[in-house]
Amino acid sequence: MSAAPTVFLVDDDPSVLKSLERLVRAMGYRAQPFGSAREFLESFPNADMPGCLILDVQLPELSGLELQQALTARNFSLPVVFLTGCGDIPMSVRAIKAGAVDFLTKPWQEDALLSAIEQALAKDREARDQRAELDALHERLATLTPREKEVLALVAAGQLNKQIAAALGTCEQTVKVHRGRVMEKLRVKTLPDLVRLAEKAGISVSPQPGNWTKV
Amino acid sequence: MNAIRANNQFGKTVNSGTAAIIYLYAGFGLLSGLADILVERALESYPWQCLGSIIFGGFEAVLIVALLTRRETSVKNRLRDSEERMSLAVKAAGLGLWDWDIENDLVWFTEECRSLYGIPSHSSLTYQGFLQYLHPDDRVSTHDAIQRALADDTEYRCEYRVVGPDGGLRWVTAMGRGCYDELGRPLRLRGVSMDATSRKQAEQEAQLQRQAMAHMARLNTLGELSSMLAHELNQPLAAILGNAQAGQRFLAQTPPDLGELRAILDDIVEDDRRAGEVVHRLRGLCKKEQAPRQKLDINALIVGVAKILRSDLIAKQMSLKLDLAEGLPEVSGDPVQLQQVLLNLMLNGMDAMLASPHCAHYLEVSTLRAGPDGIEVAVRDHGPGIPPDRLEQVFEPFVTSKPDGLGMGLAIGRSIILAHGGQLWASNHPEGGAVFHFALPICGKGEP
Repeated sequence: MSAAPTVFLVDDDPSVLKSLERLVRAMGYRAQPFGSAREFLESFPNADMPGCLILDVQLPELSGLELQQALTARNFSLPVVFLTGCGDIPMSVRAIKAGAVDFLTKPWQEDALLSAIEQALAKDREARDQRAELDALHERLATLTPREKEVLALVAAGQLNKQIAAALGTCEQTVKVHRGRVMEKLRVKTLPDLVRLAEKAGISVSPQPGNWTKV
Repeated sequence: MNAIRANNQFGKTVNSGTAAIIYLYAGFGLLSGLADILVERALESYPWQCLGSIIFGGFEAVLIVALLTRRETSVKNRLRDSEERMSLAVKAAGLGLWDWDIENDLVWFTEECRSLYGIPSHSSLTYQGFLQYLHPDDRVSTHDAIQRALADDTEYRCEYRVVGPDGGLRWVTAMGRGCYDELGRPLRLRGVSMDATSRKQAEQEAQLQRQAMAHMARLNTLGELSSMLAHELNQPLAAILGNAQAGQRFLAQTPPDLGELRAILDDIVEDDRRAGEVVHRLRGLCKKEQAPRQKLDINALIVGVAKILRSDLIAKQMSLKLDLAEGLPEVSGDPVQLQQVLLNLMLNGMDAMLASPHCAHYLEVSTLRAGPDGIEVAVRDHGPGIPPDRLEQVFEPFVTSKPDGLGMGLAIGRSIILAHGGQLWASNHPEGGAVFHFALPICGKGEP
């Protein structure tokens, strides 16, 4: 459903960039090289593309770590693998804490690089899948009527049909009907599934009936 | 000297009291001859007066002789004292005296002098014979110096090596002056020589030590650039590795993409060459001996140093602006030493800016023509500058603001530039930051 993942490369040394691009292609992935962090930010489309980013730390003007921060600020979730000619421990700790997948030194071990790329792409896939799932869920939630939403909240809170009926000021039978429709719309078969779904969507309920807050 | 002159006068004409006595007797004899004529008459009339005058005359003669002798003796004593003092002085200073009679081509030496040159005791030498005792490489220059001094009636001064009988070398310093006749033709050249071996050795040792210091300072500078070293070499190595790894994978494909492989190998060769250049450049900087003087393009030298510092600049998040005048004439110099000075100045500028985080972080290096005979290079930083009362002090050895600095960089830099016939000085830029300038003479105009 999404485009093939691309490995984005940023390094200011042209020969290193060229050789990395070749190697990534030889590994079977699509590669897109950039000579500077600025170049990357300018060309990177707004909609985030699938893939990962291999980044040198020491770049002129905008350093690798700064680029990582800029991406996080723009809510781009592209996983980052750092590659550097001279890194020290504090630098690598900073990078990992900021969410990098790995921190490799030049010259690299081929299998370490391959494994880091695979890890990063897997992380990206997972994140995308999760996002897609959540988006779908919210779509479906949007199809619920207000009454159905109320019922959902109270069911998720663990209340019995009788209690829900009392809380909403209607009869048990109506509650059962609403419940059935909710489960149909949300495409779940069992009650535990329904509760889990509600949790995922972040739905909880405050003591007053009719109020529900998204956590 | 006076005693010698006095000696000459007395020595040649009136040698001793004996001569005086002879004259007196001659005179007396003359007088007595006269007196004979008179005495006969006088003795008859004035026997006692005659006796008295004879005795008085004799007494006077004796007195004159005694006085002359005493004067002569005292002169002799003074002479002897003077000679003794000079002898002591000459001995203490290790001086050898020599005298070249140009007309007869005969060179006279004191014993001391003979032993200094290794000339046997009783041989007589001509000028050419004397020259043979010198080291073959020094003969021409010594002869030239002698001829020049004689022609211009100036002080003769020369240093040369003497080969001893055992083949050992000794350094000798010779000084002298010519004597001329009334037509201005040189009659003699006389002077002193002394053993300068220990002084020469000390000079050579000092020179070696200076070189060692400069070398140490160079290595220290390079030590500061060690992260740069690792990075500069790492890049081409990483590129080569990546290309080779890709090549292996392409080779495993069926069919293997030969075009791709060819391109890979071309790039590997190029990157290897690049790495070799980096090593070569750094090797040059590490060398201990002085490189020979060459004609240099100062702009090209600066660009070379900029390349060396490129990754260090990136690591420190600084940039370099070059403002190099076009068409500058060449300067004569040692490229390694001049690069050392440039590296040192630029690293200093970078350190100054590192210490103040709020200033602009770039270096400016500019070159320009300085008058008809020279060129000037300026390295400007945007740091805090130098306190005006310390603008000269920073060039003194062991003055440093860095905790682990040697304080020798600027001192050595100045001595290098001075040895190139130039000057190195510091100033503060009106818009902030310190500027280090050095001026160098262009080829053929005033370099030593």
